[in-house]
Amino acid sequence: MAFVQTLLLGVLVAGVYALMASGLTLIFGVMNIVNVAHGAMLVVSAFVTWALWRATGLDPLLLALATTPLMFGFGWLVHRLLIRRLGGDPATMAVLLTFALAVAVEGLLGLVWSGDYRAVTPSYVARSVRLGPFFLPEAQLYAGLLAVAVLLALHLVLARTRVGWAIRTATENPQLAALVGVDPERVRALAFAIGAATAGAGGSMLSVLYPFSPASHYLWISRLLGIVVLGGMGSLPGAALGALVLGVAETLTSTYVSVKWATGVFYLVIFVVLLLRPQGLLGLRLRQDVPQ
Amino acid sequence: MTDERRPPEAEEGGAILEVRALRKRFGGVAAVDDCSFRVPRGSVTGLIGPNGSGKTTVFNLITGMLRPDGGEILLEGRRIDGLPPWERTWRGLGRTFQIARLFREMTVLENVVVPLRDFRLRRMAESAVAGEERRRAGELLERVGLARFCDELAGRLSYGQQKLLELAQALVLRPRLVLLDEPASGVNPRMIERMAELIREFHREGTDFLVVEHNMPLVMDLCDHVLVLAGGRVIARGSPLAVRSDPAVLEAYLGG
Repeated sequence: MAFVQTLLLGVLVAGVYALMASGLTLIFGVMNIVNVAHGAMLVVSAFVTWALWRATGLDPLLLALATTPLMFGFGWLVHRLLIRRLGGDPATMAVLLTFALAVAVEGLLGLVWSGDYRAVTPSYVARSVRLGPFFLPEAQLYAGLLAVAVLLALHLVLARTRVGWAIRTATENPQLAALVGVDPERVRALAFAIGAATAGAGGSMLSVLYPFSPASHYLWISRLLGIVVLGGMGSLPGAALGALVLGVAETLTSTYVSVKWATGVFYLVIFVVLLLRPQGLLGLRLRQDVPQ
Repeated sequence: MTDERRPPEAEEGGAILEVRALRKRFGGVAAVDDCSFRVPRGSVTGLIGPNGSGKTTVFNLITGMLRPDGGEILLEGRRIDGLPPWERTWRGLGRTFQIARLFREMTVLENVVVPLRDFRLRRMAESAVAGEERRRAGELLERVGLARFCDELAGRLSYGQQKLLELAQALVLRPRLVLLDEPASGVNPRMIERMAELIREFHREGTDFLVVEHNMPLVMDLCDHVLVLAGGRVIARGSPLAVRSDPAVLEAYLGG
């Protein structure tokens, strides 16, 4: 029973990880850009959630309704002002540019809200809810369910709508997409904004589940890159699977081995999987420069 | 917006497409060299020539996949050579490839559905496979005989089926002119007959075609106007019969 409970907890953690990683893998898939500022975007959203929560007392998870469109706008601006200017060959320079953005964001957050650790603590943060034989922490439960709901919404947008169609064509074959009438620049701007929007929702959840400071983005970007690489760069189902594997591994380790080993096991799993399957679990390509 | 057909302009002599002094070099080689021709409105025009004569390069220049080093391209009398590929598509240009290019990981239906042009939120959020576009896509798939494969992944179709799907994809926006790159290559004789029949049908409904093809009986049968390309320029033009007996053409093919 305790084992199943730990598994359930791992799945809930994985749901939030998957949401956080989804934007990163989406942006990579469409634009071939590793957005190193994705962690910083999460932390921005966490701080905004914290500030709004303190000012209004509204539920921090509901505040995702505010941070999601806010970060969509932020992503759109970042693309317009920075990413778009990379022009021709963004893949290499983009890492440098988005890293610089992450550091700048970290500095700005520190100026405005200081470098201290913050936490959003709604009334239910220390409570557990009983589901049949299992006790689950309420915050994890709500955040996990909400994350899965947002991911499903993202999936529906990509699978069913016109913008999703355009994004998928530009991901699979940009040259052909242009020939059938899709403007790749507009699609890239949208994909970047949507990716940032998922960081908005993810950041609100992060603010409830983990303490954070302006420098927390280093921790999160390495964790999210791990998830995305494990699942296969650019694959959304891959990110979900990577999150599941790592979320469960982490939770099992902290329950049965030691909390101290949880982060270590996270990266150990990545090493082992990539030794056996260099393209990641669901990745299609081994190398970017070789067509599949 | 796709239905507002402009009246034929007298000063363009009824050309759907006009290419003027088009040039493209790759390194030291002039792939397309001072190439000029017209595709008459209402025609199925053949573009033939020996291997390496520049046919596919001409297609790539017209669709905007390559930038010309010089020259002009006019679709219905309007310059398109400065436009990006997707704008040319929305101006009424379509194309297929020698080996079909499709979104292999998308379904057959999704491959044919109208792409997104209007980036207003309401349009973006619309279902990609519903309403008028779904009907149009479904009708096209019905006509090329792929309706029962709607939900199949495009990459799982046979070679010939992929060529048919690509044709449907090129036609969904009701283009004025479709460039076909070897529609008959690598497919069996029955499929060639089917392809020719479809081209004639869509032509009757108002789409003109410019066809690169090595299958001469097909060209003679399908086309009412033929351009012969050699060394990156047009060396002969006219009716299929006239071109076939032109000494310059024989020279280009045999002397090549």
